Amino acid sequence: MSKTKEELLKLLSDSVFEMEEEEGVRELAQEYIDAGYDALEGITAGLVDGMNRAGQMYEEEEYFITDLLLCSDAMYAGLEVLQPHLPKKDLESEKVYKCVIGVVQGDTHDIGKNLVKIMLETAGFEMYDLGRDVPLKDFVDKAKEADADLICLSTLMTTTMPGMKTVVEMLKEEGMYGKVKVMVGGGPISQAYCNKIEASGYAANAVEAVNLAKVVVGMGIPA
Amino acid sequence: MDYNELKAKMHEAKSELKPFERLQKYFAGEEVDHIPYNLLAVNEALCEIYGYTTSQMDNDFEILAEVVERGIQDSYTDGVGIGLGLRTLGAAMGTTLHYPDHGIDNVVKHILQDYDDWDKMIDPDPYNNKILTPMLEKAAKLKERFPGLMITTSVTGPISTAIAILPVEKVLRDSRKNPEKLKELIALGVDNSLRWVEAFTKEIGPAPASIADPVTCTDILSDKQFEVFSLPELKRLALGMKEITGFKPALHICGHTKGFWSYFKELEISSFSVDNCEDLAETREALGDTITIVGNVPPVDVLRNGSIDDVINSVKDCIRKGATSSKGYILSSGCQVPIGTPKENLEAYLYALRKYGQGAKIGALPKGLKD
Repeated sequence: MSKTKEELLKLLSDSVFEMEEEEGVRELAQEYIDAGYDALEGITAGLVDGMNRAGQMYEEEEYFITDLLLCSDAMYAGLEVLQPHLPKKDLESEKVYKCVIGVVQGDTHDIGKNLVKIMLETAGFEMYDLGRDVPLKDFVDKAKEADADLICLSTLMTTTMPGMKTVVEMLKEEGMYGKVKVMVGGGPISQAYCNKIEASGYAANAVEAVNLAKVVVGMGIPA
Repeated sequence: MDYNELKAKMHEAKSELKPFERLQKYFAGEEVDHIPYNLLAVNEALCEIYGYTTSQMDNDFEILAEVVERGIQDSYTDGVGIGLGLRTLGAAMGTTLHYPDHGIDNVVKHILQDYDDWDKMIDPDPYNNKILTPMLEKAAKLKERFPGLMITTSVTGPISTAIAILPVEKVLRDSRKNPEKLKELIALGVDNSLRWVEAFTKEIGPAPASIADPVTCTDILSDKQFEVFSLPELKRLALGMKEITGFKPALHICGHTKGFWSYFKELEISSFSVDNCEDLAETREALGDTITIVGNVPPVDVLRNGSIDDVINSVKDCIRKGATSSKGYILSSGCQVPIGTPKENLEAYLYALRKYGQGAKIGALPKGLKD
């Protein structure tokens, strides 16, 4: 007997949460689509639900970085299958919050940035990942081009920290400061440094970063 | 206090003993002039203070010698280390690094992208390797230039070495997907680290060496990953270093480590240098009866970006929290002293430890804090 939609959504969520092999998640997502169920719901109530459960476990220190990585591998495998089936109107129906993210110039440590990207994507942000060792001006240019709400800057090194301040200053010069929020993170970064450079916020880990990102851009707050 | 006040007060707070003498007496239970101290990997910061870039220091022996000499004169350091930095062994095995003109190196491309690349790895023979051999030669030249100076070496911890060979995300994924091959890679890194220590000890002489292991923290590893992948190899590395040099190595780990502290008692290490993100008093309570505690003035918010008063207060706070450790306490920075740290703050560090750490005796609060 074929599975109900609820059963399949639960299986999709579990496949992410339990870090199933990518091939298995793809097959499950295909089964869901073949049964004629809604792709968007498959993503939100299935895959993303699983990733959110993983994030919750990370916050409770039951899951670690490796778990989040493997959960996200599973989630992206499922997304590959479901995303092409999204009707266009669903994509345009509500405000999409856009975020430019990258590791500042001079630094190539990017595991933290990658985790924040995954978790923000899970939370519904449209992500523009500039990668690592990113020239500072690129953050501002990309934010302008994409009409971004948020820029997330990461670095693990003290020598590249001043680049974060430069990005904030560039935004001020361009008259974009305030409209585009700036979040900072990484090993040597602290709330004190965030205040000093007048960034919008600092988060110590990827899950906190999501909560903070929602607050600074006003996601979920009626206009 | 401002810099002029600090300069005036520096005269009141002086060292009487040579660093090595201080350590010997302190660990023999005698009262010493002030608390023993160090500053982690301070040479890069000193190089800027003395007017050079890191690449000048790396590429010109005379500049390195000057930085070492002035660092000792100014009491910021008591020796020189030529060691395997976090990415050195990776580079010696074929990983491509970028060396900025002024700053810390970083990885451009790991030699292993997956295990099919295994045979591409270069043998890091200390006597025949384009990265390691010049380091060994540099250490020998320093020994010749500064006879009697303590020239030490260091290595990087097992998983920290592995992530300089294979990208960190792959290392973490392989802890589930390919654990046996990952273990083989980690063991290879440890074997090669020990080969380096052996060659260094043979050529330069036996001296206490140290291990830096930034990946072995609970920010990155779970308990299980630590127990399976890190701990057994960390044990083997520490024991091997002890057998080669005759001294138990010192261990520094960046990040949160509280969850692993109980295991550190099983390691053949002389001391544990704790990151400033952990509480020094808690570290002392957990480990102070087993090993010497080292730490943990915040390097970024205090040493680099703080005021003179911030440094003084932090030094006082650390001494108060650490000094009663029964196996001894060494004041230090919580991690590497950042490039860009002002000279004023390093002077404030010296002033504060001499004043508030004055009359130090193992296991007790120094007299300077009691007055």
